[in-house]
Amino acid sequence: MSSFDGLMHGFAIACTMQNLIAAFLGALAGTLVGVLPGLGPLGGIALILPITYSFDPTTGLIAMAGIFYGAMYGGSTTAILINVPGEVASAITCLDGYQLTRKGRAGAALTIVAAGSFVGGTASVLGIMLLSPAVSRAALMFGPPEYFAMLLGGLLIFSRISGGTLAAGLFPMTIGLLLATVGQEAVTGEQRFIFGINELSPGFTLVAVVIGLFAVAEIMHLVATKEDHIAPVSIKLRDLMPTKEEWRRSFWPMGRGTLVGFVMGALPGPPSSMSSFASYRLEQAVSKYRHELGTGAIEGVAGPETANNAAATATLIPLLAMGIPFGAITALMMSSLMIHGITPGPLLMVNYPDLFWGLIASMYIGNVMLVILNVPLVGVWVSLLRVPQYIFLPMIVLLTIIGAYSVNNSMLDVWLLPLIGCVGFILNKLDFRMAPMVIGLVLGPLVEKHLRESLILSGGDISTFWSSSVAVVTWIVVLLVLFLGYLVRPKEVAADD
Amino acid sequence: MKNFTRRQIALGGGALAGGLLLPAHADNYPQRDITFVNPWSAGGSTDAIVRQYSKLMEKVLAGNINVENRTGGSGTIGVGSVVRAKPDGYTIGYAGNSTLVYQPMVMKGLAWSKPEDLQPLVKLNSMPTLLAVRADSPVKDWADFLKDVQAKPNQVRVGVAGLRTSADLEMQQINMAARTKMRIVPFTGGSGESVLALLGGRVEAMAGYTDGLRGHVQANAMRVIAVFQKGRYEPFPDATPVGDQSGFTSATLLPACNYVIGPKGMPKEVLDKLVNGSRQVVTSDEFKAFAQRAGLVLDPMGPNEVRAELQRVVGTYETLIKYLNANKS
Amino acid sequence: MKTQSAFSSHSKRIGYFVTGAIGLLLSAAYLLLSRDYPFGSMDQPGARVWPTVVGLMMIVASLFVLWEAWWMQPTDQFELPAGAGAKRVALMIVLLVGYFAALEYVGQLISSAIFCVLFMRLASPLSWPRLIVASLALAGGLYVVFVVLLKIPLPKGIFGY
Repeated sequence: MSSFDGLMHGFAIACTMQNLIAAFLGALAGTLVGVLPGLGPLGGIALILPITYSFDPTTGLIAMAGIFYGAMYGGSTTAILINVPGEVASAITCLDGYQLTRKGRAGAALTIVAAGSFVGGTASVLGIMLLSPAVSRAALMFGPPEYFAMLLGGLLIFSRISGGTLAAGLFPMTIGLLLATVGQEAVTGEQRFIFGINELSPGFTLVAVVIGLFAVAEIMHLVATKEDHIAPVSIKLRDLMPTKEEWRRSFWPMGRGTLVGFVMGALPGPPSSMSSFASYRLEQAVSKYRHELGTGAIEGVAGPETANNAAATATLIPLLAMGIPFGAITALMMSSLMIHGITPGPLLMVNYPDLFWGLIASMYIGNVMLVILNVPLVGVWVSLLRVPQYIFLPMIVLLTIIGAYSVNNSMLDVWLLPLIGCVGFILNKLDFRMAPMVIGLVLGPLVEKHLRESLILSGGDISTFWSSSVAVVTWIVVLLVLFLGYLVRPKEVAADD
Repeated sequence: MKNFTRRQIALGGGALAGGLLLPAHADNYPQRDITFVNPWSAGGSTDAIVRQYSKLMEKVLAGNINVENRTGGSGTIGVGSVVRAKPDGYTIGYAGNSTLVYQPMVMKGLAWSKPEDLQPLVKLNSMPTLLAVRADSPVKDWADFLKDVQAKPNQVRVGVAGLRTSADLEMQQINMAARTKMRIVPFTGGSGESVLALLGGRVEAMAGYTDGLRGHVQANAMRVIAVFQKGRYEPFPDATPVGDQSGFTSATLLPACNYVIGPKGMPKEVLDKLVNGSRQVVTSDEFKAFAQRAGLVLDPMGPNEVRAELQRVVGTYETLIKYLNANKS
Repeated sequence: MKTQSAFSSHSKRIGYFVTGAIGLLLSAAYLLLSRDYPFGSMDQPGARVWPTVVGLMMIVASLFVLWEAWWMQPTDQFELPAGAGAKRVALMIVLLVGYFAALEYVGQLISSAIFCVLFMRLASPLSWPRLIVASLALAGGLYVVFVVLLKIPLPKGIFGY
């Protein structure tokens, strides 16, 4: 079945009443789940999993996919409005998004996010359709030594992600790396630095730390200053919609974001939550307006959010093309398929064309639905900002606490919030950057893992790190990016100071 | 008259308060939602069977069951929370034999140390470990593989998904029993990683379970050459049952066995309802059909049989641990 | 928008020196603690390898911080809350700690309601009756949405809520 035929067939399936409703409800639920801090798409999908058993597998998969990319839409909403990241990937959106809100451009930011997510998601679906075989071949070319090169390089490249001085990024990053080593170490099972507290065995919950760093620190600041409202709010349509200038500036970041997001999502090694960070870093390197990043530049929202959605959709490729789930969400989807007796594997496209093409077609439809759903919602979200701060703040506090607790049902995560919040608050005042800490937390364990896996596989032979051509190419790319950064930096630094 | 009435009121009030605060009377069990703790992350191989069991149990018990994932510590955090829970029948959980028996031997401070410290309810299934190679591998079958491993000590790499999971322990057992030196490489990102490593040629073989391998075997990307149990394994009839060969007694076979457990000390009526309900679920046609589709081998067992089975594995694990400690570099 | 009296200025240079020093101490403690774990061998790297790398990286980062402190202008300032602002933040932290401690005993619904009342008192000029109504509405509303509708397990106190 050619791609075109398959797609047409898929649309026929996706447009049945049942599947349309599933897509809509999934997208809606996903958006809501994404808006709530802490509760991510994983929790949402796990909640509806039992319900999907009564329907046929395609419908179930459509609903779950809807929740997944819907959550990527919603996650940035709270990040932009109140500096509370809905999940890790939205943390970088806090940087410019929240500043845009303070400038009164919340509506514009949210609209750009909706548009960018649509672009990223749709382009990614196209990528799934056309590039799956290529991605599968590429995935096999990367193993632990190659991923080590890529992720270590990422760590170094991203350390400068929010500008500022070298120490302002490096120091928090090492704190992040340090925090990430607490807990049970994955390869030998050794419990590191837990001091007998068994609850620390899974390590610090990422989402709790991210919420503490961004949200709680900001709440402390707001309490200290006791402002009346968080931002000037106007609900005139003109202010809700982005200006022509903002659209123009978002164009290329969206394009770049799509590429970055797709690659990072499709490859099993890099975590897809880092796609938004990668896009931000890219904008920092090549955008004309990079000196505005951090103070409310629209590029800082357009790029990352596009990348986010592109990556989320692309993570389906290993599952659909190879039957290998990477990440808990795709694993849940696989589990749902198996309950229906379908074994995902490389032959999924061939054996279950209804499922495959139905899902793909539905994702196109879902992205359209999300845009239609979210654009009017922008006005609703923005008017929430008019709520006086003394009601808003306790609500945010309660939301963040519920969110942090709901991830692992652990009180430890809740206690973590004010602790990390204080640290974040003080470091913020000293002009240290928070985003690198998140990067250290996410990438640190992965770099370690690939380092050790490489050595175990090669029997201690250190040349494994540069023995394959892919690894060598990766190192070269990393070094190039780092050095080009050096050459470009003089212009940045002048604008910074 | 006044005193009597006051005492009556006091007694009545006390009974009322007692009734409110005491755990639910077993006759009406379940009176509220039951929490089912899955100590593995959502979407693992365990997820499907946990949810299937809960779905069917809900019907049998006429109640609501909420599946909660409490991960960490190779399953010990979730299992620990079940063992420590109030024994009122509203917290039960899922546990595998490696978490129940192996982990207390190597981890300190767990809520249980022997199978007697908790209440098994039913055995859900056995998942024998499978050994797979890439379809184009020169190794044709188990005999070939064994020869290969014996000829090249420390060179043949076998990927497993996760440290000290049953697949990992199984391969260590084989190393011990056959006196071979396979290099066992744990991939900590779930079965997907070890599959990818095998397909990409980074390891020569991988040890895993049916659900992660079936699709690839169907697509002719992999072959399953051995199954670590006695007797033919239906999903892969061509795989050599290693348990049938000399030198590999059943003591060296460690299939992943999964149970439903509860805390010790539940009231008899509640326990009976749970045990009988579980037995009903596990022997039902619907569950059997599900197991068939998912390639699981059902092995219904009640609490006493489970205890006995766990006890049998204790010796095996102890020997294995001694061997592993002796060989640690 | 910002009330200047809520913050007081401090020398950024000193702030950086202190941070750098703390960083060095932290890395030293971290490296010392990681001695508990084995290095393993080249073909079986142990749990100590990566923490050693991280500890060294942290030392380097702390040195960078100290370096920047050395070259910083003595007139560079940073702000910390002071006076009324500091009191509010401190009170908020105390409230949070109390709230978390109460969560396990009294349950989410009641703790949240009490927290709301006290927090709003801290952050706003509303009168007590209005505060209590608003808090109950907020805590109650969130309870309904999360615990009842979405069935998300939250700490239940001895009263079962």
